[in-house]
Amino acid sequence: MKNIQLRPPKQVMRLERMGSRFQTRLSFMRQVLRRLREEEWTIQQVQADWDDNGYGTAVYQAKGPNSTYSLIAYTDYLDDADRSDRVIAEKWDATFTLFDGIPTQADIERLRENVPKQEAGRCSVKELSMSRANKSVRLFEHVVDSLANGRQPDMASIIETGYLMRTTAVYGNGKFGMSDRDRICGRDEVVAPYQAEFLSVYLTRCLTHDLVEHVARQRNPDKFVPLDRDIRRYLGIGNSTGLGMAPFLYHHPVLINNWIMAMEKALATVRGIIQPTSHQKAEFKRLVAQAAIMSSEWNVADQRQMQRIVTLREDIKRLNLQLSESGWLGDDYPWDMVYCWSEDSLSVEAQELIASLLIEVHPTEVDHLSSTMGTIDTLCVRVKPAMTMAELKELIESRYGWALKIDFNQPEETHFFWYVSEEKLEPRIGERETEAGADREQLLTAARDVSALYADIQSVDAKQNVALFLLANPKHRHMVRRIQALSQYPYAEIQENLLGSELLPIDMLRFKLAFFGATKFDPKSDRWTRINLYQGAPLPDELGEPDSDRWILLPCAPQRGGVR
Amino acid sequence: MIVSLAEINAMAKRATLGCGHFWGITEEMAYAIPWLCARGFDATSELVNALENHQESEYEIIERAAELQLMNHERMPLPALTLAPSAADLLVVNRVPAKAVTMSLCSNPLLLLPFLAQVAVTSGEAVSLIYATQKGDFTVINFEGDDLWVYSASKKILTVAQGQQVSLNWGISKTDIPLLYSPEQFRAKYRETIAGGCHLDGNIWKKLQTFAHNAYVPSSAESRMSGAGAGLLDND
Repeated sequence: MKNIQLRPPKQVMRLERMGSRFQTRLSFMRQVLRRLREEEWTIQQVQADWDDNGYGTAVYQAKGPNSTYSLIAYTDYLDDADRSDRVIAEKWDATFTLFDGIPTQADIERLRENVPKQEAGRCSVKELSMSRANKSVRLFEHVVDSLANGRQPDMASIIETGYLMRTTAVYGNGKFGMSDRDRICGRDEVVAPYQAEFLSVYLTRCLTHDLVEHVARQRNPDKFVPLDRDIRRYLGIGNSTGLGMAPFLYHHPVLINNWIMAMEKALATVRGIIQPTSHQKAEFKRLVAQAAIMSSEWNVADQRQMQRIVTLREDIKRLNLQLSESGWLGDDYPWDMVYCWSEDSLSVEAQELIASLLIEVHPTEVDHLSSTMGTIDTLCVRVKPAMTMAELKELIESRYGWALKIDFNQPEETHFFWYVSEEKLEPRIGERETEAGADREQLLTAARDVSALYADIQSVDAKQNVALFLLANPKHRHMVRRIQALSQYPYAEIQENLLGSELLPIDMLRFKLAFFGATKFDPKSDRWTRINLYQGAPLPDELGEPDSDRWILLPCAPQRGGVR
Repeated sequence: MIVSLAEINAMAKRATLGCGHFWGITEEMAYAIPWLCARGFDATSELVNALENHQESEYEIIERAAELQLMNHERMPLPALTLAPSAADLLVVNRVPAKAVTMSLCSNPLLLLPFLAQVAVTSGEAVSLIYATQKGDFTVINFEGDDLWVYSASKKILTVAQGQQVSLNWGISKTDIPLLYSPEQFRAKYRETIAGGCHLDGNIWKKLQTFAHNAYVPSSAESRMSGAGAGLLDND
């Protein structure tokens, strides 16, 4: 193997690239599935008290070697006028909580009074996550109608939407009275980030499949046919995501560093492999072919993303051609050649797709990195008071040079401000010149704040320590702490001005969603996107099969090759 | 009511921000208040008291052979709410030769504890905090590694609103004041809090919510339409 350098932060931490990422086998959803398979978990519906319309209560249990978790689901009638994916919604088609253990009837009744209210309800330490979902009304009804009339749903409709319900928020870690992460963090199955949350999402997907069949069966028991297994597998669970993810990235920089570090180490490791096996080469070629199908099924209304998809399709063709004509796969270090060629020749989106594909075919070399992706809380660290101002200045110049080049006297560089609305504390972004609320700006301001700090320290004695500086200048405390705390974490800071007029928040959303394991990014504006989770993932009774997750990275419809 | 430490963290940050304090201080309180709550202290009440009564005070730094004094003017107490992190910073930079950091009068001295605890952990050395009530009843708290020993005649003395003769010191402070809380008690309380959540006075929580509300931007039709992600209706 040769030692391939990690890609530098100035390349990796730009929003264009962050907003071009794809799922990898290190994504958190994939980690959940691997554990379910390797530890032979069982997934079971243990209660489904649904009426003919599918309204009622259901419980799904996931049983592992050491623990049992139960998804308690409440499904209710929802007027169309109330169906909103926004945080400000107050009613949903379905609400869920992941219960730690096996709930008693009293637990289910207690939670029936609270979970459907979501943010307005209270949970207890027995609950690990709380979420909600709305139906994709047209597809849900189409599938019900089809199955009730003895036929399978139309594949074009299935491909167009890809899920029966979409979640609109999945809360965890102590919110609304739920268990603090510290209570469960000693358990192997939740060491990696978001494992409880994505277990709940997997169980939610199972519920949507069962629910649509239940309603269809009740509508016409004589003609009802069950959902075809391949279609069922192709149906993931949707998600609608807004701006809330952007502040999360800013406020958990060490966590973000660890996610990216794992991914970058994985890519560098794979690029450094001298000669992959023939199986790995064949698998890569299969994935490239599958990527072509997936991208052909990936159609969105958003013009910017659709143009990128069109380019991606062309890039995949060029990659295919290059693989056949170059003879690289017979040479040493073929993956490094493929990746370097992509940097020179293809779009950023294609480069990131290739990175995901390369990592995908080397589980032995990369899967262990998933254990490095968690962290303790990030910014609860002490300022280093003994650091001199000269040292601080040097640190700023070496790590924030990109920010010091921005002229914050230009109005376009502070065009936006981030804020929290009093309406259900929804995170929002406003235009400073025209909208009220900039005096209550949230802290996505590293570029601007480091510039202000840098200006203020110019006149301070270089030998003075940070303790005395902050005593006299408490307004800089947050930025000094951030700079010091992140000095050992190269991928912690997004190297962009998050206030500038050119900002596209959607890039931050896609970045985080890719690490979750999302596919089929479907931006609805530059501020929110829909995605698919667990599309193509094994069904509960398929979890134990080898290669059961081979369709997840690039889900394809059954008639297009997605049949197992 | 029962709340999680994560909720206390978020609320402490928002309430402090809503009262107009700098971001650096809001982050410090977001650390300090759950730290105290997890160990059984009524820190949310302490924070409400500190926020309601907050007054910045003028002071000057007097340096002596074994002491760095933050000398307040006109007998106005120095607020631990905003000065506790800096007081701990000053202790750290005065390790060799060792100097105590002192304040003759300091409001909400309980808020100093989490920052001394950080110094003990990060420096690997013992530190102590001493303060007294106006009547001269002393509290001594020794920190070593993750452990702390609280010597005080009563909880009331420990949570005095204004501490007199406050000193942050390197090393253990010997005392004949009875032990009020041992490290074992704190560890047990921490385990209890993690396992069952934190029991708080609902009225105190409401006060914090009121403070926090000032950090939020009032809603408007324009903000609702353009400020966030996702449509207002999603029937599809």
